[in-house]
Amino acid sequence: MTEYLMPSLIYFAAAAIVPFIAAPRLRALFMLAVPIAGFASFATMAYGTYYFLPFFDFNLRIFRLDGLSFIFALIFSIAAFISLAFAWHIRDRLEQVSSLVYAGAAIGAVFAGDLITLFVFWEGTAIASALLIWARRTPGAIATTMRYFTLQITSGLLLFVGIVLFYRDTGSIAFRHMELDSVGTWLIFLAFGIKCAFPLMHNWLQDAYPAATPTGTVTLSAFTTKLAIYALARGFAGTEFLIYIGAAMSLFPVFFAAIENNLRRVLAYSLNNQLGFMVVGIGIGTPLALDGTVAHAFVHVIYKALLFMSVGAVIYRTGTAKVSDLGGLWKSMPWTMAFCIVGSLSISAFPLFSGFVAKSLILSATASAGHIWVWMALVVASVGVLEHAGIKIPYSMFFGHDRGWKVKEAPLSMLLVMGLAASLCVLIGIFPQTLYALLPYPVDYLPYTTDHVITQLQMLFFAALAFALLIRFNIYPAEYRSINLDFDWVYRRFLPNVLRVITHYVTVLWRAYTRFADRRIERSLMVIYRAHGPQGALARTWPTGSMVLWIAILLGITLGLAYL
Amino acid sequence: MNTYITKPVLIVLCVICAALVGADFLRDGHGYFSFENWPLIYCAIGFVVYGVLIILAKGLRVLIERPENYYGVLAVDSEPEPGMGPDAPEKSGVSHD
Repeated sequence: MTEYLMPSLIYFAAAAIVPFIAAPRLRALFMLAVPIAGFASFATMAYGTYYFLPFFDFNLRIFRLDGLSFIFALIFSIAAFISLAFAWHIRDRLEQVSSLVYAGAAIGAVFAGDLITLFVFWEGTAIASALLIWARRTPGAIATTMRYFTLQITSGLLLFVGIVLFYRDTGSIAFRHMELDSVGTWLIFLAFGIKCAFPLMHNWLQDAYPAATPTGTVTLSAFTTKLAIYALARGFAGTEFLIYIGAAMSLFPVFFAAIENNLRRVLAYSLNNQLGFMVVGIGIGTPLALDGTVAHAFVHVIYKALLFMSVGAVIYRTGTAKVSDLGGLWKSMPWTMAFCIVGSLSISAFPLFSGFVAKSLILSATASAGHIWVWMALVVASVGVLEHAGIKIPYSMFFGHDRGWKVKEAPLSMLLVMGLAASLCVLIGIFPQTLYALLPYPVDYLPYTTDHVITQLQMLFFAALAFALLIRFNIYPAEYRSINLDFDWVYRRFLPNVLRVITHYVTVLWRAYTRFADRRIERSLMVIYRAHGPQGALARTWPTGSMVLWIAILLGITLGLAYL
Repeated sequence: MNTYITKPVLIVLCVICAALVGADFLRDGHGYFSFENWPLIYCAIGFVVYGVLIILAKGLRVLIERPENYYGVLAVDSEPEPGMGPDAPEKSGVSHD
């Protein structure tokens, strides 16, 4: 009986029941109970592998509980609770069902002990999350969903082919540490890379997250990318290549975020940059670095959700997330502002907030591994984080240019959830040992040393001073409606245009060819017509006498030949 | 013009920064790299990196900026947020009950 209490199945069962609960409040309340029940189902279990399922010749290991899967499942349970609570006012059953399936699939994937189980849940997250974007139901959102879905399914396809090749090479489907030494593992690595938004594969993130519903974005921000982080940490920890990918990932989004007008896209770039830190940690692969990655993923899910919630609350009240339209909202939405600033201080790694105690693990691990350039890249990226997530997000919504918004404060349900997330950020920041105790490896690290606090404050405040001066001297990027091209231009504009040119020339060639062929066919038809048509020599009616004559001639020739 | 970065705000920031310059003497020099122990290095990193970042980003903007409706109806860039905003009912969100 116990196997039916697997956390992912609890989510799926709830998703099947939810559409039939008619009372909206009851439905929302029922949904809130799901993450709690899901967590309760594995919270007290001993580490080990459970629930084997025979599948053709394989024995699937559906549920593997260890230090790494436990903490990621815990993060996902918290994220599910936060995003479902933030969507308390939502009545759209499609969004509710897909949120539950999405969270359940992500948790199922984290517990997967073999690659086939991982693949099934991997695809589950792709399908369910696409529906969260589709739920906006505008032409733009539906087109975006298709782009998002194509990339997610590509990731699934690569994973599938990778698994097949990996099985052929090793005879095993266990999901464990892999080396990048075969086509199979490379394909699996790429599949993880797409979901992890590696550079040049990252644009689905910035494309899709601003297109979802404001509540859907909060859900989206938690699962897909962190599932990829988990998968990389499980499969490719210590792969040196990841260090450089991560450094590039942490750096380039900060430039895009600084000039982006849509705040949800700013947060999507910011998410990309945060993933970079985690990927560096995985690449270094020492216990300290992996602990740093996990700790960072943990705090990141909470403060990123908090930031997306504050922007979501602002969209809910004002109908826009554009820097060029917002400003001066501190008067109307003071609580939202306060919670947003807590999120900003956390992501900027301000002492006493959660980012400070997590990010420094990765930086220390990078430095002690001797990667000076990567370390510098991460420090520069940290200043970038302060720029776009620490300053730009709260400043442009609540201060900036006062545009005379007079709106109501966010609904109570939203404020309560934001309050919950904000208090988690502060509590983890003040009591880091509670977080460290949950990490897969024992942590011997003190974040609050005089040196660390002073240097961090110096960096943050001097950067803030630079910001203030840039604003005063009018050098800070101006706010107006615009978008910025990124790599997605290649597949949204360039390749379609190339395809259009090719189509044009192929059409021209085809037309010329058909015209030529038509003429040839016509001419041969005419020849045939001349021979076989009504006046044709072969169609003429010959008299019987001539036939007899010809037979006599033929017989004569045959006779003659016989005598030769 | 901007209304929030006023002179008092700047003065408070400068005072905090001055205090942090003073606090530099409390550092015990336990960096991983030798240059981390240079005086005021983190102040410089914060200030300079921030400034350079913004200027580079502005340069990048010149290259890659496009009008909001560049991708037309295939993107949400110039779409309004459906069912949101001051006129939306309290219990809105996109309702499809």
